Amino acid sequence: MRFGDGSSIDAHAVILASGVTYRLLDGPGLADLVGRGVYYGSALTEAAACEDQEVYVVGGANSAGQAALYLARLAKQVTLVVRGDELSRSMSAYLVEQVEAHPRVRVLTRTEVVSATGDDHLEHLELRDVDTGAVTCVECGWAFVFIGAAPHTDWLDGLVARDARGYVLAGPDLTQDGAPPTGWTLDRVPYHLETSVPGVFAAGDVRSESAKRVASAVGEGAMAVMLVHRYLEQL
Amino acid sequence: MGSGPPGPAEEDALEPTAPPVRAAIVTVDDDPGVSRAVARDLRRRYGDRYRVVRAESGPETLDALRELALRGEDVAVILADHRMPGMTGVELLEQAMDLFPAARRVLLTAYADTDAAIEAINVVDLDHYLLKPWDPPEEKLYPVVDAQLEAWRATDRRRPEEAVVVGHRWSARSSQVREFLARNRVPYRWYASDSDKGTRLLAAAQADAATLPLVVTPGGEALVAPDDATLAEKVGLATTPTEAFYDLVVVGGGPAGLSAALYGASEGLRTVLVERTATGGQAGQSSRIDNYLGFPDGISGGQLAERARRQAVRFARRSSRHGTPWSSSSREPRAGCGSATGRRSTRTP
Repeated sequence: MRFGDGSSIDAHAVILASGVTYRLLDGPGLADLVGRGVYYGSALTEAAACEDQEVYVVGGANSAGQAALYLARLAKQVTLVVRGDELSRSMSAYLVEQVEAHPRVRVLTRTEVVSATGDDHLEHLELRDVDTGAVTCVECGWAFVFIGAAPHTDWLDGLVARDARGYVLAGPDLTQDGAPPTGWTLDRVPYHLETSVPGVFAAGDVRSESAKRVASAVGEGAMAVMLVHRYLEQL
Repeated sequence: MGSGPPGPAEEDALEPTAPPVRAAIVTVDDDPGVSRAVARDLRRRYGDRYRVVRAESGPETLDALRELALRGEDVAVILADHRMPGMTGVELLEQAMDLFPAARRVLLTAYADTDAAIEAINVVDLDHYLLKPWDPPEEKLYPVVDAQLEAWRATDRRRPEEAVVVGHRWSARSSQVREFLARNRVPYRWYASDSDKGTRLLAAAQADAATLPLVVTPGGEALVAPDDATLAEKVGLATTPTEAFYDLVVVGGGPAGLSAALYGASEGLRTVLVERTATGGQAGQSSRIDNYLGFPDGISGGQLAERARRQAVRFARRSSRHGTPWSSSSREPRAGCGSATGRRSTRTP
């Protein structure tokens, strides 16, 4: 494995567990205001600055719900902006209950962020109603974005088989109709978390079809080590 | 520049994130009357030197402690009632150890809880165990707290030395640098470049407002607009693997990667963990995970990651035949013709 600074290390086996990063919001002004009112996944660092402020959280998954509840402890009001029609489609039931019961958290469904404006710092967000297309402008100094996620796997291009969205394929997802992946040279099929390269395994969110839960990721990490042992025994 | 910021040591009152000088004494009891009474007694004697923080439940106390940690403040003593609904005092103190390991831990209990409390002394390494009622405080409470404060002041807490960040109030890179330090648990103070203190620091480092942020390392080295790799190296994060060959390379320091590193190291594999930014992954940025097995009162992603990191390092030390068991690097792994940005690696042989 080679690194950005030119150095390298060798190893018998590799476990890919590089996870995902938040997807960036697309729209005029949004990129310019990152770190100046628009934040990705940094609710903890910025929370103290949001005291008595109007805060928007974008996204409908658990991470967005957790951030909304955390920020609501200090903020004047937190608005959760969700594209889907129901929070329960994307968020765990226990979080939906807390979000809906919180007096300072409100939820806007079927709504998306289209643009942001502000001189030194975020001042306004434009929100669009997904059904009617109507756009409203709201005053807002703080927007925390937790929309979807993308795996960071470009560096594996041409080496490890990935699905259309870049997630790493492993185990049964590699073998169509029981046939091993192209270029596979061993007379066994890939182990459960093994990628298209023997000895290279994938665990957690970076793996295609993963469960996106902390407990599953922890379990897959442990299981991958067990499979590494099995692989090493055959070397 | 020399060690530490120049000029008088006063705080800029206008800086919302600048920590106050007083360390905190934290007290919790689920009976509001008791909680208020303890806090009142503590304030009367220590209010001029310590900030007294009061809570009425374990989770509320943890929130307050996190807030204090986030603001870079220190906690000298935690005085907890044991029998509280939801989270007992012992459970609270156990979790508080993650946030303020040097804080002195005192359990304040009724006579009926004696057995449970004594049993728990080993679990949380309790410093003192005080029976209710504590009246008169001059005889029962103050001598105990005095002794704990003295012990706390004498401990070599080596108050984790702080980095200093000076940047534009609204700069993306300043925000990134602060987040990088926070996620790697490097304590820092932040000053806006147009504040008095920020201006003085910039002048002292002979930096100008055009090249921000300025980072002053705990050792006193001034870094002008450093990239992540430089920052990681200069604030003492391990950035270079110590071996050329490993049994197992784990790419990524989130829950899956930490778990893989822990199990790999515990089963004797020479293991290195490579991470671009900081351990914890997406979960590490979550303020509260309520549905993770084994944590009935919830846990923050950062705490979960830090515990896992410590656990992996412990196994690595145990099975290590070599020197430093933990090194990390700001580097990006490449396979074939990949790209490169900063990535941190953590070695657990």
